[in-house]
Amino acid sequence: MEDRGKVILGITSIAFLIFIAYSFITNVSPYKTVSEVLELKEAYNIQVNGTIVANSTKILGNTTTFELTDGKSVMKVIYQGTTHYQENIPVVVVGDYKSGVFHAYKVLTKCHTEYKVEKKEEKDK
Amino acid sequence: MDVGEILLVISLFSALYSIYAFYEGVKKRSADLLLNGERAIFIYFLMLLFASLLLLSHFLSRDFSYQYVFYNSDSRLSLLYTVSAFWAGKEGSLLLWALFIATLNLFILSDKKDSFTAYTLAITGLFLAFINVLLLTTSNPFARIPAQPEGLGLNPLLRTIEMVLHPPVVFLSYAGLLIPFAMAFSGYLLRKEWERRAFKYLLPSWILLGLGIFIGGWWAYRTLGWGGFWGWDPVENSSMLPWLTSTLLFHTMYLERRISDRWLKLVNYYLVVLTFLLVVFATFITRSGIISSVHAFGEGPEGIAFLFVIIFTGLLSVYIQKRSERNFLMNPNTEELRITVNKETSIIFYLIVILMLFLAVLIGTLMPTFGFDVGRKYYESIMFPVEIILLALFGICIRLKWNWDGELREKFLIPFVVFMIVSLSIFALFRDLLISIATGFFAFSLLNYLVGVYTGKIRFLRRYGAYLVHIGVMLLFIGSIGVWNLSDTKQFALSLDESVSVGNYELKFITLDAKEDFEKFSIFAEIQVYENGKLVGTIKPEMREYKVIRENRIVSTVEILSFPFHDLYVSLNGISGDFKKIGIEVHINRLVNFVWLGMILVTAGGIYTYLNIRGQEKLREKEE
Repeated sequence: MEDRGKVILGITSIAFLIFIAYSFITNVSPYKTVSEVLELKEAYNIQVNGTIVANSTKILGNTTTFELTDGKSVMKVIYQGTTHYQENIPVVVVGDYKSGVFHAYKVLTKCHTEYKVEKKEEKDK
Repeated sequence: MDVGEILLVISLFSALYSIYAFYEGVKKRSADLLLNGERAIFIYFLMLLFASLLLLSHFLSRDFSYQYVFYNSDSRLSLLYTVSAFWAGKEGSLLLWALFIATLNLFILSDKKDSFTAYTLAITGLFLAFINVLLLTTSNPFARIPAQPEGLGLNPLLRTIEMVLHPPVVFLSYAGLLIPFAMAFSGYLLRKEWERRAFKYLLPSWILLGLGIFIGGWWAYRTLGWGGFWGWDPVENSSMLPWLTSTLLFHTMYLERRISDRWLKLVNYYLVVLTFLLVVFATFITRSGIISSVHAFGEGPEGIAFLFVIIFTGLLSVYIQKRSERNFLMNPNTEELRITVNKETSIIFYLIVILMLFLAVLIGTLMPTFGFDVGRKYYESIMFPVEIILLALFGICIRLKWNWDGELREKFLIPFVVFMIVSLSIFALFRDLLISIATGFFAFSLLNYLVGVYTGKIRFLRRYGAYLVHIGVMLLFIGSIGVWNLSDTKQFALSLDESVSVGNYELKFITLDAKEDFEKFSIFAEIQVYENGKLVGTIKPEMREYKVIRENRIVSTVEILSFPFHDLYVSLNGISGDFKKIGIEVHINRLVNFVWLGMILVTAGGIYTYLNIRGQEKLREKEE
């Protein structure tokens, strides 16, 4: 391949890589444990692993609230939407933590071979 | 030791022996050894077949003293799902994969019997032995537990016809993708051309992998209830990665046949290796059963074994390529790729786009290992420009000539005018920039394809298969942009007799009722759907509780009213304790039928090409 061709292909690839990096940075969401989250004041678009505390789920109209624990600390979660998980199972919640409450926009439950995504994806989040 | 385990041990030893026999047979030019190698293949094929039948019989006889049977079935399970429970988990899937590899090895035997075939069979045998070791250690389908009165039952989400078909189709394609890889290795070791012979296995494997992914997407859409067909989670992504690299491989092979650039030869080689490594990666992710599955690589001996195979094979491929290169004159009259206005440049740009998409998906899939995750927004923001560029590139590429093309204005003026007209009118109608540009380029490319077909010559009949595949991909792109960008989603809590409206539709909650059958209890909501005041249908989304003892036994079903340009998609999310209120999620998914149509065309085009090539081969054999 001649040099001019290499330059053209190189520039195209680099442009794409920058674009991927940009998309990545604007959409990345780190994993945290419940204890780590509680130490923070606010955090946005994070994923938290934990277990749903038994008998903590309350459903009010369209809103579900429950408590999530990592064995050390307990965090309150609000989820706009209804789910039908069983309590006492490990889940991952995705959302924002502010003023002492976790606002989830996704609740992911784990299963044996497959898992199901239960979520309310806000279109213009 | 269990009978099944004994069969697996015999299979392992015959696989190991076949490797020795084929390798030494070629080295010593011993016909006897090669014949013994063939016999060893028959033996391990039969052993794996018997082992599979044995496992199946344990399922059918409900023998819950086998751990795998206990975890994946129960005594109420219907015959069809009892059979499919075979591949519902990791152990059975690996056994099925091994059986498929052995079966395909028998097929390879029907090819020309030369040193190339012998080396290929030694390499596929080596990988088979690896799986066989896993089957005897960490993933033993014949592991026993104290006898249980009842099994845990099959995961309710897997009780669909799609999930009966999906795993065998995917694993057959994974077994198929092992062969081109083995052929590339033996080609380099023996310094022989491998691409042509590998292509024969690559194409059907690619078709099957695509088909498997499509069935999976269809299943996700109709079963999971979140409204989409592709969630970009590690399990889905990991099956898409080898599909992308093998798609790349077709194009570099196509280019390389035209322009024997040395660089392209190398790209072919490394792409086939990469595709196989991604297959190994995908199997591990899919069957480890952990949510952010890549975590699991560091945990347990099996993850380490898979990781070892990936790294070792990767390093070995570099070593083999370097070692063989010195004396390996690929083509004495090598040409060079020229980057200018021509067909090859448009294909190269296409390759860069797919490569970048591949990297983006790979990065997104691996990130959970490093404590980060990216959502669907990340993938969609990558996919939109990729789709737009490809929609335009397809139409440009088809009309360009090889080497140099200067007649741009004559060729593209009318299609460009068509692009402008379609884009502007769609924009005037829907006020969405993305879909207007996409449909504009779709019209642009489709017109170019039609001109291409019209001016094409009859002897290129087999090109029509490729045309069909590309048109299918374009439809898939239009459909996915519609679903991702134009769809509406709303959640409601509904009381009895209450109505809610979504778009032009009004949904009225009529009643809640219950039913019971042999395997489950169901509560279903009857909802009437009105469009502009007129009743268009009644839907009954269900909440089911299966009569099994496993934890995840409650699932909700999805109801879909399908129209040509959109689906009304409703899933039941919850029912209040007093049975007076329900929670539903309503999606209006636009253009989703284009996705399915696109998938069908891609598969049909692939099959057409394959049959055409096989037909030509048969013709050539007859002439010879």
